[in-house]
Amino acid sequence: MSDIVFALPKGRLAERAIEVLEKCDIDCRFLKFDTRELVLTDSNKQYKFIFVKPSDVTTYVERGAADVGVAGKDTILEQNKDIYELIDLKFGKCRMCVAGFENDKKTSYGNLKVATKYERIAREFYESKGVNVDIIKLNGSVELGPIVGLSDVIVDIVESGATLKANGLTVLEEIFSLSARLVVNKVSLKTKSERILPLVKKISEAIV
Amino acid sequence: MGRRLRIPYGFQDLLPKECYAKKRLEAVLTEIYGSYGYNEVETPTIEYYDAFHDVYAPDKLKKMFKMTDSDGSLLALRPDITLQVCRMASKLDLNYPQRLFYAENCFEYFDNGDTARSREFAQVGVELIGDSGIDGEIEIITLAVQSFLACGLVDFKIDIGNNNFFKGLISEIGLNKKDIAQLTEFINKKDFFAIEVFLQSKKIASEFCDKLLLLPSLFGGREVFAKAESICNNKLSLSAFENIKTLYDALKEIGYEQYVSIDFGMLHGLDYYSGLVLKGYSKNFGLCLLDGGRYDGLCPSFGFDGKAVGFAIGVKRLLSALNETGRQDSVPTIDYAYFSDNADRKTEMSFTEILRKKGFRVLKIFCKDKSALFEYCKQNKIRNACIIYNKDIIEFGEEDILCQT
Repeated sequence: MSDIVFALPKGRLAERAIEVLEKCDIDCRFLKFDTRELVLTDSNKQYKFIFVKPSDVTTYVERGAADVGVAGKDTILEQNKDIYELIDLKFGKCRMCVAGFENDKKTSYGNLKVATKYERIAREFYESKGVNVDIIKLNGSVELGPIVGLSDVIVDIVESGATLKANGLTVLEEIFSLSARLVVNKVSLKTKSERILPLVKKISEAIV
Repeated sequence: MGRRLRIPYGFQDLLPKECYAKKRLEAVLTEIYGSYGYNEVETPTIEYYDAFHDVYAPDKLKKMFKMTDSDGSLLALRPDITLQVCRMASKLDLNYPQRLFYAENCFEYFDNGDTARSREFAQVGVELIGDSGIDGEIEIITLAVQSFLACGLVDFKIDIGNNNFFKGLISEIGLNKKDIAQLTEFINKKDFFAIEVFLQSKKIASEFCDKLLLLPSLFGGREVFAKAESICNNKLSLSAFENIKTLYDALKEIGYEQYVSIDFGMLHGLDYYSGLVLKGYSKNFGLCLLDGGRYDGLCPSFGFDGKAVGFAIGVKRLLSALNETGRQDSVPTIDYAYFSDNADRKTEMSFTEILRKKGFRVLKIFCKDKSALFEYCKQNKIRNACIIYNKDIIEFGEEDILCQT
């Protein structure tokens, strides 16, 4: 029987995903061991799990290297891949926000400067508002942008707001809310439907 | 690497092995189309941008290589062949359906290397232009199945759907164009959650919400027909439903049921495809290999009547899928290798010509040394060697080659 390859994002989302999979009677004990292995197979040899960088899940799934995956809605929107996005998994909830200093009058000359990991989302958001912006792509610690004067505001995901607060920043505008999603390769859903559909059904029942 | 050795991303060289596999595949496919009475056509690589402008979605227009002609007109590298073939069909007698096929390269311009797509890609496709009705659609799907069977692809499916099923459903609720585009995107992603949120935000009555929420799950085998039929309350959806049902039954009768699947929620270029839509997949390859459908609006967009149905196969993707299953053809080996002392070129020519006419691949090597010849044969798995020396022809078989130390 061919394995179903399941891409899990390393880190917090994987832990929550594993909880859901356990509720679906998939033996996940082996996934909890602290291991450096990147490919793990479940005891019934039904699934092959691969652990990848969260922002890479949709890439593996789009190209069919993984059949199924768990990805944050932020990644999905930013990357805009050609995949199925079947279930809202209801965990990993957070908000995509514009944040900056409260009551800050824009001081820098020219376009509003926006630091973000999410270039596409930020660009589309400001385009839809008709605001001209300079997008500054950063790969982490985006909060630093306004603090050191690199940017006027940031566009980033906000969970509790603690990091923002610790740095004296506040949410200025909410763009949309986010959560983790079950994504499926467009070909796999059709060609391996006898394996994937029951799994999808179990997962959607497990998260209610 | 030296700058002059680089090529732009998204383009590629085809080395002998890849090129051979590609040409073989194209030959296998075009032979089938020929046997169904399809004739090959060629279209220009460059076309006026205007030819595409009114037909393509803005997103697709952006992804075209553009340049200007000497008179200032905007030109484009063809992004697909179908539209060109429809333009060309104005020169043909369409009182009878015209059966055409092509094997050409298309181009897509994008500035993002992070994608599964190439900027130049080979396509082989068929077009049935003229009034062929459902029989034409059956013929096209049959050809799609035959294409995959002939090249040895295993575990494939031709997925069939019909855009009008969805168009009928939304005609009942009256959304504007922008909302329809948004909803289409959600349905294509089978994103049930987003569909629900979207429909609620538009305050759509719950009976229509239920129908639209059912749509993305209407895929699979014949079991989906009952559910699909239950939500067709309008003429357009019903005609789309009957179209798919008739096709499915016909393909079943042919013995192709195992190769066909249905997806009423597959919405493919709503402005481009006017009914039937097709996609082809294989279990061993994660990307779509074939796509097509019915585009009755294309010829009229050029100002003449002509319905059309067809598909295109992505040659590179099909090759990758075949490679996954070890079905890709490899370059045939050389049958004979020889060297000559060049004392008698006439003997050399007549000897090698006889072999070549018999269909053997005969290769001259440019050393003058028996052990080098045998070594070359061993390395390249060549079973016959010859030396043409002073008008004599000395032949060696596999044993001689292998025994040499």
